[in-house]
Amino acid sequence: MKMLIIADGIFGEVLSTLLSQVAKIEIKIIQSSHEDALETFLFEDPDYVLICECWDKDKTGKITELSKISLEDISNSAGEDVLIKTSGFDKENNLIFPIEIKDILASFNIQGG
Amino acid sequence: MSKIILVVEDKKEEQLIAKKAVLDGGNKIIIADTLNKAEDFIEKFSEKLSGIITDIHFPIDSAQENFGGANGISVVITSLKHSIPCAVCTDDIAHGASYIPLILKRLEMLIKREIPISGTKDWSDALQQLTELLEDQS
Repeated sequence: MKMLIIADGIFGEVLSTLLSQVAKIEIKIIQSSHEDALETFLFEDPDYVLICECWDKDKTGKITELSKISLEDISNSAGEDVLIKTSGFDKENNLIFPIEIKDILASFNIQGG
Repeated sequence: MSKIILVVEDKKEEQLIAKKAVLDGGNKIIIADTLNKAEDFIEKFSEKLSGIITDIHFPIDSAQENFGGANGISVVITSLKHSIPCAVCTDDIAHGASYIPLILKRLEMLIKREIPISGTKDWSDALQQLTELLEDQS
C-alpha cells in the first residue's frame, strides 16, 4: 500500500515519519509539497492521500488555501479506488479533523499501534 | 505507460463523463475548468502530457463563472505551441456556432496538423479520435 502525504516543509516530513512508524501494516509513505501535489499523485499512483491544510501566497501574491486547490486537482484525477482525506484547522482555528496519528490512520481504516 | 490526458471542461457533470471515458481507457486525467488553469497545466506538464481534449466555451478564470467565451480556441493554440496533440469536444456546432469548425479548419491549414472534433459532445468519441492521432504520430 502507498500513502501520499501532501504537507509542506518539516511538518510533512515529521508526519510522514510518524505515520510510517505507527501503522501496523507495511505502508510506503511519500511526501509532497502542495505545489507538486498533482504531479506526485499522477506518477506515484497512491492508494491513500492525506491532504494537510495549508494557507500561503499563490503565484499572484494572494493568500490562498493551497490545500483546497490540491484537494480539487487530486479529486479530479483520482479514480474511485483512491481514498482521499483532509486534515487541518478551519479559519476559526477549530480542529476539523483529528491530528492524532492513530486517528489519521483510522480514517483510512489502517490500524496503528 | 499510461497516457496523461488534460481535459478542459467547466461543467461538473461533463467532467465526470470525460473522466470515466479517460480512466476506463487506461489513461490518467488532469481536469481544468478555466482557461487560466488549463494554460497553467499545459505549462507545468508540457513534457508529460500525451494529449488534450477541450470544450470550446468556458470561463477564463474562476471569477468569470458566468462568462463562457470561445476559450477552447486559445487552448488549441497553446497546445500547438507546445506540440501537444489536441482534440475538441463540443456541442456548440449543433447549437449554431458554425464558425468553430471554420476556425479550426483554418488553423489546421496553417499548421498542417489535424485537430479532431467531436461535434456532439461525445467524450469517448473525442478520446478515440485523439488516440488515433497519437498512434498516427508515433
